[in-house]
Amino acid sequence: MKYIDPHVHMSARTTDDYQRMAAAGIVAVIEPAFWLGQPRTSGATYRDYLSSLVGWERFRASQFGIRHYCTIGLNSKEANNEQLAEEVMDILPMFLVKEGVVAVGEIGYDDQTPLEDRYFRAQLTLARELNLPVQIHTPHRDKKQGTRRSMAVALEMGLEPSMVIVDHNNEETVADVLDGGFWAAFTIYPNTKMGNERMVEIVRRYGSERIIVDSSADWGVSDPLSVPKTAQLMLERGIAREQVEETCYLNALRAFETSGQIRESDWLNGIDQRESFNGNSVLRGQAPRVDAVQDALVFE
Amino acid sequence: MIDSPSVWLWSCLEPRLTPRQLDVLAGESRACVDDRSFFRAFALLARGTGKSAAELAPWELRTAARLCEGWAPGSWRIDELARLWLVLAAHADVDTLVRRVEALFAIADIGELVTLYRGLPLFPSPQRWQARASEGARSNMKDVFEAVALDNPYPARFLQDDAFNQLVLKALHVESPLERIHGLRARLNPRLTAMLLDYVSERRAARRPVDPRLFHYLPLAPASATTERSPS
Repeated sequence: MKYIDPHVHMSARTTDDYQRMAAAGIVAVIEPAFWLGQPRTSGATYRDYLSSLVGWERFRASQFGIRHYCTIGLNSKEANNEQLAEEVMDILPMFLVKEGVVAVGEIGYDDQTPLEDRYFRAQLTLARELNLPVQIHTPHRDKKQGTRRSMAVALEMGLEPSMVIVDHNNEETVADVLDGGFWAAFTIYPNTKMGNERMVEIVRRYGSERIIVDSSADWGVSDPLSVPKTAQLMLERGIAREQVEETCYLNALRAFETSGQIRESDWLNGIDQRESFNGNSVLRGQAPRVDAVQDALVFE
Repeated sequence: MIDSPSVWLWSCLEPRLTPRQLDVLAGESRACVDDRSFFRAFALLARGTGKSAAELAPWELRTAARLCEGWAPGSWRIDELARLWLVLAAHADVDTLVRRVEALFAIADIGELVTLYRGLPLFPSPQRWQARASEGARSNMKDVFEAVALDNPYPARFLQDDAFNQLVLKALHVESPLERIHGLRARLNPRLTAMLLDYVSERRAARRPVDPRLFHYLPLAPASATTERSPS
């Protein structure tokens, strides 16, 4: 089975992760722009980060046969630094038109401050103007209210629910999100977000329509194989194969393909993401191997 | 009369785009009144033109090589022709072009970087792009590196020995074909030869293979029997 992980912060991950992800069947990833743990103090560092999402990280993923896409936005935490936020808002329109940018994201609320609200709204307006989907980060604290508020504001700013992917859902938020016509994404992330046994029960109860599984793997204790592992668990626990495929592959494609920047043919027609079409892509003298390498005692 | 890269680019676009696409492109070049409108137009052009191979005809390639010696755009795509035409057509003033393109490099995606580096020899005041070309030749994104290093006359014509030598060594390390480095043979120099010989020793010490094509660029071994027996 093929998988898409539509929320994973690959910049924080190693080549071992890329190898394991490719071996597990992940064909495409979407990397949302987020914060890096350490707060940024200037627009220039943020600009270089966004450049890496449309440049270096795309290339790095391609070496492992994985297609890399990204969402571009000002995250809610750093929206609280007004000077930085203004500088970032100024450059976002330039990055939102780059190749492989599939949505504005991940944006939304963290502490639900007035500044977060201001920049969330401004970015929703950008998404509407550019006809791009929006990937919403819902808050860890006061989650239920924060999720409802995120959806209400998105509607208020004129977005169609079908253009909005609400992420980090749980049992408490899923009904509201689905009833509103939005995409409901679930992050399988140990301890703080969803566990995959709970995910199986969500799919059993709500079906697979508009439900998306992702890992949000980042610099914390997290698992870049969350999507294939959850798919496996679903199959073992009797979820229909079509529903597994929808939640772990097809729905992510459907939700983001309205951007015009992600197509199934991107990976069905071969895994070479290079821009020029001569020669072959290799790691400095090493073919990108998805097997054997990591546990070998001897390497050349 | 095709007498400049910009005219050549347009002459290649004309038979490959629809009249409507050509109108849009021409309109964009007039609308690039500030940095942002240029960055935006440059990014979005590829969506309008598509990204298929330009499949340039032999006579088109001959004209290209006449306009800029060593220029070999045989593998270029239509969007690359259009984007570089926009860069040249939208900027009558060289200083503005240099400043804007430098700013664009800082926010470019992989495809844009490849196109801009491929375009370096076509830009006015080519000597002003030496630092930029060296930067591209240091890139670890192989596409970007090859946009500077292969089928591009810029390095051989404008890079100093040190930068050119590094480019050749890097091409070996990332397994790019040396025969596509324009002007390599003419730019061989004692320091580069020494570096290449050291590279061969290092590879052999590590029991790693050496690309046999490399030996085309190295002097024959001085102790070779055939050399010694040759008639004097």
